[in-house]
Amino acid sequence: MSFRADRRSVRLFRLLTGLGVGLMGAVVGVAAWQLWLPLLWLLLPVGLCGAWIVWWYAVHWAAGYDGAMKTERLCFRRGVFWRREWILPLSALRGVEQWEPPLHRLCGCRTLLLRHTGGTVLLPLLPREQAAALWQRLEALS
Amino acid sequence: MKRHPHPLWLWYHLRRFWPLLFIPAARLLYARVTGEAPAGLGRDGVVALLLIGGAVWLWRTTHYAADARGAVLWEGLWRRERRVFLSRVTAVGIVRTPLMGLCRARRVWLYAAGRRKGTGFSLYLDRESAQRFGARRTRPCRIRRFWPTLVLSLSGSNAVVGLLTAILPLRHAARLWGEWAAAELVTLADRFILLDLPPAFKALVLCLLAGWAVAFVRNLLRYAGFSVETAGEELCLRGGVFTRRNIRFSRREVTAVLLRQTLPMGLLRLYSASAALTGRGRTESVRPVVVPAAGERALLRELYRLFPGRRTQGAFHHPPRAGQRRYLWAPFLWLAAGAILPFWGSLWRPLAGFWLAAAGWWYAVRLWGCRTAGCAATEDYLLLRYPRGLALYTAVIPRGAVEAVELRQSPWQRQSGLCTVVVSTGGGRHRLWGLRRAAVKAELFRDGENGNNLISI
Repeated sequence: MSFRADRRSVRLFRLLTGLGVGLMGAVVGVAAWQLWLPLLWLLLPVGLCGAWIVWWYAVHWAAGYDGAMKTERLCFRRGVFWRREWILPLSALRGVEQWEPPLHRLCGCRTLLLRHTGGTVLLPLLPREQAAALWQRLEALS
Repeated sequence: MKRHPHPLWLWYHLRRFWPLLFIPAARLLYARVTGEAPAGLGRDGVVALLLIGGAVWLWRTTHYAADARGAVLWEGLWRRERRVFLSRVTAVGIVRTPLMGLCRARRVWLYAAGRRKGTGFSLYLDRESAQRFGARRTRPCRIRRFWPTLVLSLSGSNAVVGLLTAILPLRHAARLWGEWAAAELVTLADRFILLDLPPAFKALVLCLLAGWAVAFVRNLLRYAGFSVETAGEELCLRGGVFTRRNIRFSRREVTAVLLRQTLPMGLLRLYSASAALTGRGRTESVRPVVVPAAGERALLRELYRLFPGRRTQGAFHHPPRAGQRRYLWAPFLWLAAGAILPFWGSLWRPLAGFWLAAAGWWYAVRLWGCRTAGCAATEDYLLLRYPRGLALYTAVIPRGAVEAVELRQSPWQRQSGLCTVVVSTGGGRHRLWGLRRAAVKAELFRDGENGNNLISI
């Protein structure tokens, strides 16, 4: 069974980064208002970075995010500039966890957390059906 | 049956407050020497009494119970209860310091597998109760090598820094010997330190030399009389001159065998081997040393005896020239910074010497490391060789212990087809830089029909 990010993941990614950038802009605005007005110039790079992340980065992030669950292992890759590729033996899994906060529900996504003795691996913003199928397969392991 | 720990628990519990406890005594002593009335004695005495009273109260609320299945510890006002099942324990250790020997007490720690703090605990018990957790003596003691242990103690990383700093005093001593010989012998010790250095650096030299001496003596005392015994699947390690340690663990809990070499050990072709057990941190509880020092042949013989079947032979993939840069840039930056320091003023020149010596040492270790680093995979094991800190490690990881494999590629690594491999096990992570991605994938991620790949163990 394979899984990959789709349009909903991109939408949620854009929403979350947009919120983050908006929050940062608000902080800069308040700081400029309270401390020094020329600080408002900082809004320009913040806005440009935000726009770049929302329009370009999100799409490429989703394009480079895919994986597959095979009989004995889970493989997936992620990342745009710094690419990471994981291989997890299913026998090493000690627990799995899934999150569906309100924004995730709004966009139809879920985030899975795979815990093994050596640490935790995150599978963020997976489309709901794919996450549910993966969750079922992982549940069946126990 | 619930019992209190041995009263020696109080001494070790109060150890962290010793400076506070000694203040009243120091005040009394000072008052006696100067003949003045002791000031603030009452306040400090009350603090000390409160600390001692609190410790006694804590001791009274601390109980333990032990049976064949495991141990339970209740402690504190909140009645924190911790249970450890012997079947889930990764390692059991029994420590006897000289003070414990006098008081007929032992410290027993039960280390349960887990990455979180507090998955195990230690108990202060009387000698008879502690013996319940100890290992039965089965085979006569092995590995009693004095000379390798001595060389190991001399060639530890700390010792190396000490040796580096000792070069200047030794040169100075040689000059003194030539010029003044016996007349200066009395003040030779002073002359060792009285180099043409500012006082602050003399103090630094003293500290480094003292650190070297302490590291040497500590290593020697720790590993002198070291022995390993085997009983079925269990290994029992004993050692130490004054503080005796007795560590017991199962071979099944070993996630990797780590062979460590510092630069002088590499020159002498010596290794020390430790077993990485499932657990958190790098303490002796999760990284017990199984062979303190041995040459190649003796080490392999000993490892085959301790871990039968761990015969590993595979084609090593070394980092190509482009990948070796990753190992060298950090020490190179330190070297460059050391080279700039003298231009800041004459005060910085002696410091630049130390700086350059330390950075040069690091560079040498990394240079040696990047030439010999690499990975190999056999049917049952993974072999990773990589430099970390001031030492070179060779990790022999059973495929069954591999929990995750991660390949990382930065943008510039992607251009040259290189990657960083991170192998996670229950006992820690092993990271190797600058390998060819295609070769690593072919070797570690083999997807053959026979199932001979990393994950389908």
